[in-house]
Amino acid sequence: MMSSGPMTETGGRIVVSHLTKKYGEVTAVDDLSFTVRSGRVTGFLGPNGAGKTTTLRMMLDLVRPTGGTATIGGVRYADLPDPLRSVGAVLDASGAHLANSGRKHLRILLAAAGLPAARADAVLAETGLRSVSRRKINDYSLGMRQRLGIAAALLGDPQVLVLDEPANGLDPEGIHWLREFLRSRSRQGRTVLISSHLLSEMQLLADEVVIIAAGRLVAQGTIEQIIDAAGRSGSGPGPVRVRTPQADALGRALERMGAEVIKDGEVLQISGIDAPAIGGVALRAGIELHELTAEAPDLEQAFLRLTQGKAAIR
Amino acid sequence: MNRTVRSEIRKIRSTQGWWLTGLAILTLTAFALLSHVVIYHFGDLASSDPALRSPAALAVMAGTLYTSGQFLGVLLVMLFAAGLITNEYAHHTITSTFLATPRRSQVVMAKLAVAGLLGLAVGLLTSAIGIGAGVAFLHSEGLPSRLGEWNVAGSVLLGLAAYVVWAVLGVGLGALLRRKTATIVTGALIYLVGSAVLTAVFELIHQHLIRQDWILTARVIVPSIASQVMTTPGGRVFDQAPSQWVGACVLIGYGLIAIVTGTFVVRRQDIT
Repeated sequence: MMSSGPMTETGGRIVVSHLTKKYGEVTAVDDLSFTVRSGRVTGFLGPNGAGKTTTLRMMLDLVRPTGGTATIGGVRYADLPDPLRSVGAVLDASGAHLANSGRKHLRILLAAAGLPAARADAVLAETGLRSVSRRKINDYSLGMRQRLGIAAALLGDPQVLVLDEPANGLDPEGIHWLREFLRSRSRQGRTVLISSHLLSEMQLLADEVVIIAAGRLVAQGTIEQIIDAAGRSGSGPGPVRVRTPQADALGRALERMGAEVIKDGEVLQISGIDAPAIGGVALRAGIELHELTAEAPDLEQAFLRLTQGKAAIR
Repeated sequence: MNRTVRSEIRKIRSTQGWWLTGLAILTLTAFALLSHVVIYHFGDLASSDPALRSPAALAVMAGTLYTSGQFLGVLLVMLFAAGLITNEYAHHTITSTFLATPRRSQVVMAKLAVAGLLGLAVGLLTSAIGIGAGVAFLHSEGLPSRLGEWNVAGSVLLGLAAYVVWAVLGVGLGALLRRKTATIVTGALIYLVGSAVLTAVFELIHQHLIRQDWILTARVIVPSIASQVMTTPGGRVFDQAPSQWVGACVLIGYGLIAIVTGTFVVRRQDIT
């Protein structure tokens, strides 16, 4: 096992500061600033085209920012003395010569990083690829390629992990493994930044989330904070589910009070008015209720509310 | 830097391109040698024309034998060297390469070093084959090797230089174009067709605009013509050709331009 650097709070801190990327007239990332701390899993969320991948690639000095900076542990990626020992990155699943075996691919990277060749077998075992390590990558399933990308990120036993949509192509068992794995890394005091469009997955995995839309920061905080904030900034309380044999009558009554109503047979999805008020309306109208449930707002609803109206692709 | 070079060597060894290219170069060399031997044995040396047996003609013959297969060998080395860069983009391995070595100029320098060394190795191997077989042939014809003569030995050395410089040019071309097919086509056109087309341009200028011989000599600024001038043993590619060393200087100049522009372009590119 390799020794990793001292796990200080600042050692793995990612600081994005006024980061901007313009492609001609199009601004992909627009004056974006946020901080990712170590010892927790940070989810990086945004609709497609929000600028997540561009931001991650600027962090890793693969894409040149038009303005602003991104540092990891206080320095730019390109200035890290041993980048693979400090930061492991999983970007796309196809970043390997398909005619190579997984083992050869990793050994090329180890040579470039000045790390011992034996690390290849260690990370292949860690990511469950030992049995296919000498097979051509061309024969790997998408999930295996994704695991190989994760294996490559682990070569230098880094303090910081940056993953761009790593769950793509993983089967449920693989996703479970990834979740446990990333949690254990963060418990060791390391930094984990993971971008995803799978919001439910993020709700299970992330301690904190950074949400961007149209290249700008929309919200950052713990999942509870984000949901609260969305509740306050959105159109009143979360949706309420009502089941009644007189759905039409209740729906009309609620709409007259300014609520938004979606009707599906006996079931109404109501937003813009809270559960006690709905109960009151029903009582006054003499409408019989079979169910009245205030649904807990989840990250997905918060996300949709926060990114609403912010066009993904400009 | 050593790490980056070692990683580059590993990349080359891990795929099949290197030995396929090597096999092609060896086959070409053997074929060129054989055809030279046949032409000299049944042609020049069987002729009654004394000019074909003059010391100058025999020196050209020796130089030609010793550098057999070089014309197409150099082309293959250049295209292989370009592949050191274009393959990384074609297979998207450039991302992991730059993650491991974010100082991109270091990656380009490592590729240049490896390409130059490969060019030198191929040059040494083909020269060894050419000299071995050539000396044996000349001996069987009762002729001396002339390896001690400067213009013969110089041809062999400049031939080695051609392998190295074109390998460097290949890396530069790959860095500028990135796309595999575009690079192969452009490289082959520059090397094979460029001289013929541009010779015609220079001749038109000479005929219609500037009727001075230096215009024809100036053809040497075309890389492929510079290369021919540099590697044509003792003889002259065309009447107004400058000396072999002028060709060498021009070609090395292009090599340096390729290194500088290639590094500049690779450093600025966004890897998306």
